[in-house]
Amino acid sequence: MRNDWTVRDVGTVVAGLIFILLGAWMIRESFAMSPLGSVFPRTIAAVMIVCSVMLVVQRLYRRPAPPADENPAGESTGRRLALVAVMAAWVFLLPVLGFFTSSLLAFLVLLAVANYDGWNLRRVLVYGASAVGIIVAFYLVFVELLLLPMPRGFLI
Amino acid sequence: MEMLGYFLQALTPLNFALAVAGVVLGTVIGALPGLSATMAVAVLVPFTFGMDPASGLIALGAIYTGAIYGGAFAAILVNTPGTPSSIATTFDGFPMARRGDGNLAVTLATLASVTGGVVGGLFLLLVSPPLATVALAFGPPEYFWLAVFGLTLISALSVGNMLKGLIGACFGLFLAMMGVAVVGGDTRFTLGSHLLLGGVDVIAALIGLYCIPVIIDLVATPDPHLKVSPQGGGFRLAEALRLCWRGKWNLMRSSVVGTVVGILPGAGGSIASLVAYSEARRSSRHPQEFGKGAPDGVLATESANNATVGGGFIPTLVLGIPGTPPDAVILGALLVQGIRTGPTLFTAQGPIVYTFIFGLLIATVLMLPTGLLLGRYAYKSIIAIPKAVLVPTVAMLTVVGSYAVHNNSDDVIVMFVLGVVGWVLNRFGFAPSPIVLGLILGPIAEQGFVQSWLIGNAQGNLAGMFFGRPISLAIVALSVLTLFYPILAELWRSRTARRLEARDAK
Repeated sequence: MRNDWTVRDVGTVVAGLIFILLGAWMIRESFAMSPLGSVFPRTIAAVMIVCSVMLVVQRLYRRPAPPADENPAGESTGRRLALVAVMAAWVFLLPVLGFFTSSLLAFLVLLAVANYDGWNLRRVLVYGASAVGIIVAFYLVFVELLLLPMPRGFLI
Repeated sequence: MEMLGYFLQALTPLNFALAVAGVVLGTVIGALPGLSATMAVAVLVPFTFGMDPASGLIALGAIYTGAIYGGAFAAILVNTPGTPSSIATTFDGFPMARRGDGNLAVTLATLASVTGGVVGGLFLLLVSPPLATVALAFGPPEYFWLAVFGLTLISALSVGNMLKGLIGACFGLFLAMMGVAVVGGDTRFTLGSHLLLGGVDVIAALIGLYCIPVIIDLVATPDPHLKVSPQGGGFRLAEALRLCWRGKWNLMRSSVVGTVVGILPGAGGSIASLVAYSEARRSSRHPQEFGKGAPDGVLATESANNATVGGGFIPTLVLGIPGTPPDAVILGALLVQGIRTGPTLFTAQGPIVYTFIFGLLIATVLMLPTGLLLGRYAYKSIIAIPKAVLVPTVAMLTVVGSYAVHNNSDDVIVMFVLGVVGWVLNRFGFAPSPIVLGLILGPIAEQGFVQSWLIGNAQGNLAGMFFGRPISLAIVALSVLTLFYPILAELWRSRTARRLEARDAK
């Protein structure tokens, strides 16, 4: 057994174990299917389990190629999580608030998440105007021109 | 003359305007570091749903070829590949820019891209119809093995780890199995949720897998302070043409290399340009100049990556198996348009296909004027677009795009969840392309597999059905070779080394 674990190695082993479980679950589910429907899932699940076991064993015993930068200095995990959270809220609120409102809110918050340069009056005005401009342009193109039935809601 | 009619059809004002707009948009997106050609095509797909199939395809083809070309600007002028396919262009493009020949390098890249694109497009025009005739002889086992070949190839190409590639491909196949089965009609792996009853939508999944990781990583770092190398005035077109003429064999070889790599399922511009670059250096009379600003290096990489566009469309249109990652997205768009790809496409939907191929060729030639003007006058403002605006705009395109496929908010959720899963997996070395290929090839593979299994069982000759047909056997052999090629190459190398040692010892 090796003892020089990197984050990537641990992640690989965890992912391998998850894929083994997924394969096992696929095989269990396949018993409820017709013979025609179950043959392919079982085959693929078997391949997935075999490859995952090999991957885990390989990681446990063999030193892999030197890993790339794990998290290069200066990368912000906080902003990544914030982006995922904002997008999750956006995706789930889309049917509730409607396209226009949810997009405008999400756009403004994402501007704040992605901006590294600090805020002054000029930047607030320029970014705010571009947010409204881009959303309105999208709305006109998709809803009015392409007649896409976007969810309606709070504002429009 | 039928072909002339299709050509004129591609030249209608609408199609011509779409080709221009597609090339310009593609070039701009490709020129922005961090946004790839696959992503350009994925986020702009929804705009084409309202168009008729040929026009929509022309727009997507133009965006694709423009984005591959646009990557060269960033590679040459700021030493950052705009798309992965232009990585090798930085080797010689940037040294040229540093010594003040940036404008010459951009013009060379433009000429090379047009040449490569036209060669790839001509191959598409001339090779696809006869290939489609051969493909008509394909039965279920051939389609199954072809899908397997595509999956093994992309796994073998997954950087560093073949096992991870194979597991990713299996995961993609699992995603493809969700919902109602293609054969048998079972409802599978839906977790009892109505959300997954219709299966995972391919376009939504592709937008998620290719675009969400990009935006997640875009916000992680501040705007890079990209310094555009100062350029002299003019395009230096005459000088560039002279260099192209001198490097005509290099140009032709790289274009053919690009086309062939494009045809291989799943392998795209980044691999093609690296292969063409090393070939150009190997066969050059001045290999020591490569890496120090050799015009031939730029010619090789840029012609090869644009040639993959036409080459990649060959398996996409003839077999329904994507040649390059952006082709996977375009294949999904074709399904939305109600076009079934496959050997019959060229006879049943001839007008659409040929109009598209001519449209792609026209778009490729249009890169010459638009590219030169964009590179000369607009590049500095393109690169100045702040990330703070870019991130929410791309995020919005992903939301609108996945919604527009079926006008359904559930697809947006699927897109987002798969995007986050894809990002996490990518962090641990599971690249998105095998997953995507598994997802696309899943139904083809399953249908071929189950039908062969049924026929084989009925005939009492299961092994013969899978392993007894000549075309199948050839594809199986190719798959095995692909899978074990790295090991074989290693063995061969060590044997040669040993033989050399033995000779030296004598």
